[in-house]
Amino acid sequence: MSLRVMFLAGALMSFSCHADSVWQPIATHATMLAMVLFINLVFLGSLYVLAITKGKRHRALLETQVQEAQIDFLTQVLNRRGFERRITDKRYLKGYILIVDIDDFKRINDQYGHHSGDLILQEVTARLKEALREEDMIARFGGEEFVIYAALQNKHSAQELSCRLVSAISANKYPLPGADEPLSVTISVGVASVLDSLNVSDVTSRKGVLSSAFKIADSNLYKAKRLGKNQSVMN
Amino acid sequence: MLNKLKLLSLSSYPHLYRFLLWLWAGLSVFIIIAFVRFLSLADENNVTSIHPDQLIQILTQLDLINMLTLPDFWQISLSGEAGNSAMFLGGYSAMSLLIFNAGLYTYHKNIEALHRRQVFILLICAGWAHLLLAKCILLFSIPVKLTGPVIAVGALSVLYFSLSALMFDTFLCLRRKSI
Repeated sequence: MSLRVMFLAGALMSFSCHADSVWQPIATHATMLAMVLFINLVFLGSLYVLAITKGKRHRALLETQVQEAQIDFLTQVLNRRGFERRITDKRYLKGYILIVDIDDFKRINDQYGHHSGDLILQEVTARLKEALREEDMIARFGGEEFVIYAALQNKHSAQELSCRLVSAISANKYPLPGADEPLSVTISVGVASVLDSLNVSDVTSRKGVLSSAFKIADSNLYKAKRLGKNQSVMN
Repeated sequence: MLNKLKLLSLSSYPHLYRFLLWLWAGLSVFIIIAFVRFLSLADENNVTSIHPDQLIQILTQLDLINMLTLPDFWQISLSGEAGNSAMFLGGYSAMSLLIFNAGLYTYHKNIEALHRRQVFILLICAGWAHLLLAKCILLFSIPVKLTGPVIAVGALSVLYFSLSALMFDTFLCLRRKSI
């Protein structure tokens, strides 16, 4: 008995391999090494699995936040940042920029309150989206101003689209809670063509092209306003 | 920089939490020292409260609960003759500690910054996991001559990992104070 206890005690002394048989030292070392490697593998493996899981969750959260940062909260269409990001990411840029502005929106806000103004914005957005094609891009740039990019081939199609938008908004009146009569809302649209320069990878030249298209569309929008609103103008 | 901040920060490491971790690590070290001392008593045939056959059974099954109830287990002495110092040397436990620390350091530097609290817990858990694994191995009928080395890796790993956790936390604590 004493010998057996002595062996147990002796085993605690670094390497207890004073065995009389051949297999004893090999089995001893193999068992101890297997224990060590197993524990380390389990612990470090769990840590890595945990890191991968957390990383995935973190990436998904980040992606959602990036998406949210590019979407307008009220109308659920792209905001200015999202629009600029998407349009810069486009490989081929040839079409028309349409700037849409709701006529006399300030009056609506003043007369019916900001809540009603928000409802009008939401309804206008819905109607605009309905009038557009799947591939067209719409964004709210701020206030009552929307920007649309439509990859159209010719001027006639652009003219047709802008007229469709104007009539889609003014066709039906807008019922408001608390108002006696439904409200008439109209929009003015300024249109300009975007012709991408040959070098599509050149971001600076692309921004220059877009910027000049925006200026033209903006000046056309003001022309439409001056001409009596509820219409579109294109050079 | 972030790694350093995470390790040095005390904000999410409240005193009670810290006290419990230190208590856990301290008790682990104490129990293993008592265990080694107990083995040396058994080796010298100085165990009085249990029959030798029962003692063999308890040891080969690593029956910690029964062992802790024995009065002989608690005959702690700080004198030099209280156990052979060579019994505290465990090559495989040291190797395990080295591999674990290397893995943890790589993880901390390259994948995710660990908090000092997490490092402390991981070290203690890894130490006790060795003893748990030893117990699991002993549940299978392995040759009696293998039980000693298995228990040795388990017990000394608890000691090494707990000591390492205590030293690591003390080092960070002192370093933080010196900043």
